[in-house]
Amino acid sequence: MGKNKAVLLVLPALAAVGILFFGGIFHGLLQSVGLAPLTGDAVFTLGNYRSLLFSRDFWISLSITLRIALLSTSISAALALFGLYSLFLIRIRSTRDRSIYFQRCFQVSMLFPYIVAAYMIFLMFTQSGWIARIFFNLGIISEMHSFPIITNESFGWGIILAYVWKTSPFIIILLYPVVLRVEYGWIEAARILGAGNWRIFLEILLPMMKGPLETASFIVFAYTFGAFEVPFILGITYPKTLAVYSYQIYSSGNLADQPMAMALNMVILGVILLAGTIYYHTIRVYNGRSDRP
Amino acid sequence: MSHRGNLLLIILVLILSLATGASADKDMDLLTLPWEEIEELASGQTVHIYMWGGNNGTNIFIDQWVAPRLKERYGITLERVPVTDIREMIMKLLAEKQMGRHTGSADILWINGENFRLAMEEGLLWAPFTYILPNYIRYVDPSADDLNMDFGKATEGYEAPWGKAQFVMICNSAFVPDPPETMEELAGFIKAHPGRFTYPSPPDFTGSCFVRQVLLDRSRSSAPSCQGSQNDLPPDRSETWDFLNRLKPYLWRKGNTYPETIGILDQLYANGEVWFSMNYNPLHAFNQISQGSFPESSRTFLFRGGTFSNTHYLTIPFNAKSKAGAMVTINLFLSPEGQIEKLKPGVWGDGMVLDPAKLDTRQRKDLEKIGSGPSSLPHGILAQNRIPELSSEEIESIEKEWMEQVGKK
Repeated sequence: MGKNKAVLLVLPALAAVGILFFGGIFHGLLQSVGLAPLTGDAVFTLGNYRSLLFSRDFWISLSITLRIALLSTSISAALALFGLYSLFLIRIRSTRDRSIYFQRCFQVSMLFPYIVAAYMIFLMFTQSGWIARIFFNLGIISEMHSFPIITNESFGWGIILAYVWKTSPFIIILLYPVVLRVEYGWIEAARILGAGNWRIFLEILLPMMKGPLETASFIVFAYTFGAFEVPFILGITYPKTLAVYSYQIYSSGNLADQPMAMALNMVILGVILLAGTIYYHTIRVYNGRSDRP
Repeated sequence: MSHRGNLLLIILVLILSLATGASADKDMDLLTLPWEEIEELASGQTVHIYMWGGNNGTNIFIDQWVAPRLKERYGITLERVPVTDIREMIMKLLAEKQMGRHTGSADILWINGENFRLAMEEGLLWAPFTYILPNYIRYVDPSADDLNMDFGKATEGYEAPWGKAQFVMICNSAFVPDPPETMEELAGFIKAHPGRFTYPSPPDFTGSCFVRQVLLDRSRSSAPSCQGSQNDLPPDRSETWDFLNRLKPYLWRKGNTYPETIGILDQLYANGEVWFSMNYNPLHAFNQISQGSFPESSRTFLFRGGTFSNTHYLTIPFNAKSKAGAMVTINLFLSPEGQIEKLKPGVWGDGMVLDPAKLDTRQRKDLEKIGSGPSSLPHGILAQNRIPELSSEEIESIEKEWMEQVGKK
């Protein structure tokens, strides 16, 4: 009975997610194969997928999207580990644990929506932005135009910057419980055996963090691969990331193009699912179930 | 379910279908009623107007000028529903039409261009209602092509003109003391001052219009007889792409990228990174200066030979619940006082659709009093330099070709 009640309680939320989320995906899938046309008759076709596979633009978009997502994820994870190491140092410095307050500070950037983060990066780092102006007024650069181009350039540094700023605190939050599990007795034992702080972090904490770090990185990858607003504001006209490219097709004004945009969305989803499968079968299964912090 | 239940169900469905059939007929009868009776029917109705909510001046005009007058004079409650893209509403109507829903949520839509074309092709609009609106009959020039053709599609009375917009260029007179009058002059200036000009990448609405201005200019230079009017432009656009590609090395970021939206270009302009912006609202520079975003030295200019302009409209969907109320509301939007109020720069600054010759002397005096300072152009100059927009099909094809021929290179 207790179990049934739990199922009942979770049902409304589950139904909302199920209908809106999976319903939307399912409808998109039908549209991409011509089975849910906005006008005219339903005819099954794989033509949209075929023309994507033969389109050079698609492959270029796919490669830059992958590059941005992988770089954002790795830089973000590295930065998060650095942050966790400093939280660890703060924690072991005294018996009164102050790391919790610092951990809160790291969360500030999580308060901002991605679109605000993207716009802030634009305002700060564009060639006439705040930072360029400060450098100019301090005499560090002689002309505003000599400030390096960070936003809206072909590599995507601005996009990566926005993602790293937003996602590294997320990884820290997921991994911080590991830092809290470290007991002072362990540290003392390790000290007696001659280990410094860095070694303790590397040999005790890092193995404990491995599982959650992989999970967190996968979530970050999945998000940065499929997200729209940041590359829309900080990207360039050509080539675009997959999500922005899809939006461009969708909003082109022609109803006949919309199934193509849906096919592109299905490819984005497919890549994320593929990455998820690979992650699950190689890393997780290989490790056993060691990722419970 | 028992047989009896089935029978009941069938009867119920029959009654319902009769009822909806009757209501559709009754709606059509509205168009034959005298206007006073329509006003009576409208009394007590609630009218939902679905409109793009991105302009504060527009929203305040609706909420604080239109709504109280409707309530007071006709007993109509006006509910403004802001949307980010009216296209979503068209999609919703399309779905409602397919499902046979006869009572929708919207009574008035604010649309034009490709959304109107789409709505007409799919039969989403109610009826040719504009011809019975008293203010339309009295003040609108029935033969004005720029009102009767909406991006190349005949309106046929299914939508009532509400306002006019026109493409203008904006520059900072501190750096550009003599605004260029032709595309050639602009190109000369850009080459002499590299990095100080760019345009939003199509399909951004404003950037797309700048590209059309170049296309018009190039077409005229090769065929001077070209008026730029509907389907008058040569299909070969290579000269336009050559022109834009030759400019590329002198654009902002050497043309390696373009601002994705007009908002980004405005930001670059406000920062002083570029010296030009552009807009489809002739009072944009005035408004931005009032808000403190643009420098005081901003000036608006046109190209010799005119710039593209379009009209925006109000329409009633096929399944509007308060059709009488919607008509009375649209009629108020078309009143001289409503049109002159909307034209004031501090209110919205949106162009008037009434024929000034049909206004009385007092109204014409009110019209002349409206000024907006040195940053914008007088209404007369704008009105003399209007070119009707191209068809939405042609615009779409230009945008796609720009991406292939210019954007990717």
